[in-house]
Amino acid sequence: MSALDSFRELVGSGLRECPAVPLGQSREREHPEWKTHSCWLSCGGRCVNRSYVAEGVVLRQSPDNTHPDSPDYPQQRGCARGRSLRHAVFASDRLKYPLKRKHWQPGGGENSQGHLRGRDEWERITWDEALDYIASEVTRIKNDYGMKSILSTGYEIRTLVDRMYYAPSLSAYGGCTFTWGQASQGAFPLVSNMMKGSFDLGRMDYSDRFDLLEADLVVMWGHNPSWSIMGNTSYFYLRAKQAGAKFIFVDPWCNPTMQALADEWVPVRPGTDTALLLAVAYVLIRDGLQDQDFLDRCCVGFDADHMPEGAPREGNFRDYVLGTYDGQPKTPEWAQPVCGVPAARIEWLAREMGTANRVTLRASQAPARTDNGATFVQAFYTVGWMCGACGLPGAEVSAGAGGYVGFGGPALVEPGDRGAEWPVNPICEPPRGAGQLAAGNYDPSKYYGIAMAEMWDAIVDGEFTNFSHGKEPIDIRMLWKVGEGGRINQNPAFNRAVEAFRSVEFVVSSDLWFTSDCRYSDIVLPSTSFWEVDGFVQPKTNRELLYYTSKIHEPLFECHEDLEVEAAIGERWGIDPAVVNPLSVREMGLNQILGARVVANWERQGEGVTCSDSPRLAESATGAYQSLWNCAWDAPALALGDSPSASDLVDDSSDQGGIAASGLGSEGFEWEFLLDVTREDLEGLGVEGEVHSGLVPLREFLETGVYQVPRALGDGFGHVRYAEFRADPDGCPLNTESGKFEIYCGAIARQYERFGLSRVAPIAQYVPAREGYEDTFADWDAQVKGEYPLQNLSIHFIGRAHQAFDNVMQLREVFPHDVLMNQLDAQAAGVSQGDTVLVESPHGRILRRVRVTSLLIPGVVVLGEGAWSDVVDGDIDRSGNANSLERSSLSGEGQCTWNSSVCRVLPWDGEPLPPDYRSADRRGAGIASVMPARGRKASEAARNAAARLAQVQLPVAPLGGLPEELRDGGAKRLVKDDMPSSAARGRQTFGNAAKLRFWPQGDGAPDTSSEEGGAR
Amino acid sequence: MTQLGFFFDANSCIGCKACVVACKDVHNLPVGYKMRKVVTGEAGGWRIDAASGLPQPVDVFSYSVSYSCMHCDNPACLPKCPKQAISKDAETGVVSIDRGLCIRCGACAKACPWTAPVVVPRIDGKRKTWKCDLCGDLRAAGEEPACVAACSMRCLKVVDMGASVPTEAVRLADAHEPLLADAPDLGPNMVMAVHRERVKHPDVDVRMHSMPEEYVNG
Repeated sequence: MSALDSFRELVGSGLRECPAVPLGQSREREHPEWKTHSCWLSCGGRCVNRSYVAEGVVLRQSPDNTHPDSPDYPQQRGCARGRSLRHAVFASDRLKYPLKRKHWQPGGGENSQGHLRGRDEWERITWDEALDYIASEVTRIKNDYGMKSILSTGYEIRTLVDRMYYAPSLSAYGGCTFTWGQASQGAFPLVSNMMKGSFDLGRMDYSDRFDLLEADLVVMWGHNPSWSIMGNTSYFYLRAKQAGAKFIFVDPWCNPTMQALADEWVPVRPGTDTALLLAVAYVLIRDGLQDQDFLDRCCVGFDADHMPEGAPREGNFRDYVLGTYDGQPKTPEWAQPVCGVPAARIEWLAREMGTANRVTLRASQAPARTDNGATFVQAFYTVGWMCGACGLPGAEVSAGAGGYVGFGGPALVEPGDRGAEWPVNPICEPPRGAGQLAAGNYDPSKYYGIAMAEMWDAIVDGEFTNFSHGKEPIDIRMLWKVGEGGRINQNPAFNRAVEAFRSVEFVVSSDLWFTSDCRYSDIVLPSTSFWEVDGFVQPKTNRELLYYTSKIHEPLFECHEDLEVEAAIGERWGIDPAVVNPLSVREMGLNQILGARVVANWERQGEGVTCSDSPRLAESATGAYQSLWNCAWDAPALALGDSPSASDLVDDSSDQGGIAASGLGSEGFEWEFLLDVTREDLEGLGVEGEVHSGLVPLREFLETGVYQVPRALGDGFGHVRYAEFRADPDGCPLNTESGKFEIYCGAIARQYERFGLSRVAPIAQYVPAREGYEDTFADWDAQVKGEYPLQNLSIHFIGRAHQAFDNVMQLREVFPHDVLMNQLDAQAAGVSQGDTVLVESPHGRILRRVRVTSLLIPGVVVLGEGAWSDVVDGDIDRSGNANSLERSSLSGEGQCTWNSSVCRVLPWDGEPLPPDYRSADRRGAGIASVMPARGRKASEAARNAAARLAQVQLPVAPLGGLPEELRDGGAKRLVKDDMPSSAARGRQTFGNAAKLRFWPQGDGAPDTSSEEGGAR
Repeated sequence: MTQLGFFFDANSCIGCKACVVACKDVHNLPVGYKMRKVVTGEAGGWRIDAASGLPQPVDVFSYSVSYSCMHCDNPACLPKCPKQAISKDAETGVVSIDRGLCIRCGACAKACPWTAPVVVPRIDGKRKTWKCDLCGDLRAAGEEPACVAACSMRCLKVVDMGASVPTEAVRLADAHEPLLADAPDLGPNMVMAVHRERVKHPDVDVRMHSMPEEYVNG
């Protein structure tokens, strides 16, 4: 029996039987080898992983061992999740073949049986059948309702390969509706762009890791990198601590990062940070601790004498804080009852921040994932600027998704351009407006789709909020999730989402596992992982690194690449596959590495970055990032009234490839090609290209899979944003209306007016959030708690990357998904450590085991996000998906308001939950029955059966793991009888792909030329 | 003899469990079984601050400890094995099980205060008891044990207990670590740097924050 066959035999019974390799031996495996890949699931850490592969099976993994580890030149060590990748890829509940929901039929109306979504049975179908269903349904819906009725939900990133977000086949066929708003970034992007002229998730706002060492005080605001952005992030902060920095954490939760770093903890209630910051500002002003020189020269709006042109003098921030006009000074005593921090502690915090020499003030985006999120952004930057935390090594105020793994700066090694362009959606702007909405370039004449924060309401109610136009009708008939990761599970308001999914005529999803989206779909397509494609380069999340993920093994079962699938669908509409899928993953990857460049001639590098705020720098520095995202995250904010068409700024990924590989980049660096490419190399790869000399031989790079720029203190590649601006603000104006940091920012207020969703003042003001702390009270004045007395905090969970990895049992074992609760609240609720509890919000209910702890401010419960919903017994989500507690809401720039959520905790008198790693119920399989294909057309009997069933209240299909047929031994039977054995498939593994792509409809034999398997 | 042992710096550990999962990975341990464990403890409580009337934390902190086999001077497991399958290497002091002799009776696992030996249902077709051998195969190839190589905060190392123990570290027997069993007579060869919060608050009670499945096997 070959290794692959034995693996298949084992796959049916779960990965615990994965073939073992005693260390140091390969034991009858042929050609074992180590391959490098970066983690490709929903995380910006993007660490190096290595896999030991034999006969297409990954036997074990390894962290980065491509060079010795040192603080200056660290290995890119990953986390427990990345180390569990093989368990995810080879999971027994990996999708293997296309599935059709048993009682769904095409044609709309009664045929859909939408109410059975999520509780139906499944049939196995062929790829041909699946694609025919999809193509014909889209055509029908297009003809009857228009392409606008198709919502592409592409969202939380499973792959981070651009364009999968953008439904290229639908775009080529007439377009579709996308979504806009913000998810992880909260209210940061637009406000940040208006106040300081940029927002790039911290990539340029974070100083370089060597400059961070200069910090005297680091304030971590809602920041928990050891769960949220693993890799070296916390290690780099540790280095700053070892260099003498004091760390203060402001957070409702005494989070695990604090174990390594914290000197002090300031517990604060979620959504009240603005009040705390205003009180800190009060103390700074009262005691004269602000950096007045910096405020005078580099900011507008701090006081009456430095207002921007046209702004009323009395609108200044200082007088607001002092209560000059509203009669309410924002004192610590004023803030105390709201934020939960005693006045004396606020005084202490303000003095710490105001007297430290170099302050690094860093926030995650979590405090802005609130209903009043804009006010946090305003207050956060304002207080940072008051502390002079800007433009000097160790002095910065920054926020984002951890920057580049805890530090920032222009990339030192960049991939070349992918060399491909995809169809543009003719009827809707790209998702999130391709960054244009955040850049302040909202165009009322354009259609941006539906806000993610209200999308379920929009689908069910048939109307959506079109910015200041108000509510307009929308008729969504179909949901499309081919390519990108989770939506139903990861968007707020899960219960409403189920209603939405059940209300449409057709839902199609592709994925690797039977995730929540698949569970509520009609057609499910099995995708390849990024181990199963021919080498690719991920978008960069680390300025010092470039990865090339090798192909680890052949596609499993009948899995296919999503882009190839889209091309095959498009072909059924008469669209040339090369339009939808212009280049293979391999070709794009090779374009990127052959064109990759690295900083050169380090001895000749001078001061480094000049005029670091120029839009040109921002464009080139984040250019690679931009071209891969095709979202102008750092797009210069244009004057209101300028509205370039989206196509001016997006879709043209060739912009960034135009910089010559040698010669001066606009950053002031010199560059050379990363790879040394010979004629033999190109011939060996079977591609045409340019021969050029470079730093690393191509062959070596392909083997190692990673290039990391060697760094050292004083190497000239440090980065401190706004250094030149601080020194010469008039000479280096920012991309703001005034050219300076705008503490008073009329642009924000005007942008919010244009959006028409909610209002915000030009300066930071405290505004209670809907479902914020104040809403835990029935009577605020009498301080009587209401029905939902607790605040619910949704956190990034270490056992998952958003929803990825939830089905990996060993991660459930070491990272139990419990709800955390303070012992005072537990006592009041009558629950004890380890109890199963019911957590209820106005919008849903979940069950979880409770962990009673001191590590949490009273009044707050903490719940990790990403668990795959499992709704049984009515509306109770046994998996504890945080989104089951959340609501649809629309405010600000359309941010999802996960951290404006109230709840209560009740004892559960039903069966206690078993530990998750033992709970087959939570497995994503959800396949109650699988039958051999019986052909596309449903029989009359099947329709009658469906009609009879519709009259019966169906129990939710039990997620009892794999059904009988697939349990021990079952997989063997299915594999052998219904699928070509691995031996027979052999080199024809791509046979299906070739067939999908090139088999003209109605013709005879498939084209099994090994175009896919060979040249690619 | 060079007695090898693990050095663990609690001051830098964030409880990420890359070490736990690395060990599970290279040994292919099934779900529910761990040879290396990371436990997290918490301390402190909340009292009402008189001035503000608000609950405030008092001595609240958490820390984690990563541990596997102590490669003891006088291992509890070794004499309990009915097949003399457990031995202590004369040159390195590493305690390991000869899987050829092991009959999976579980006596060693019961004897060890830190449950270092793990009785797994089935690995590689065989039912055996496994324990940490400081990744002998990797060491033979000049590599570090899998847990050490994986540590994201670089706080787990292998040291020569006699020669190279970092000065800020204490032997486990002297650490009085509340999260771990106390069995100094066995001569456990682990050194750790005690977490700074415990040094600051030596008398505060530490409670187990981890849930059972995080440190119990089965």
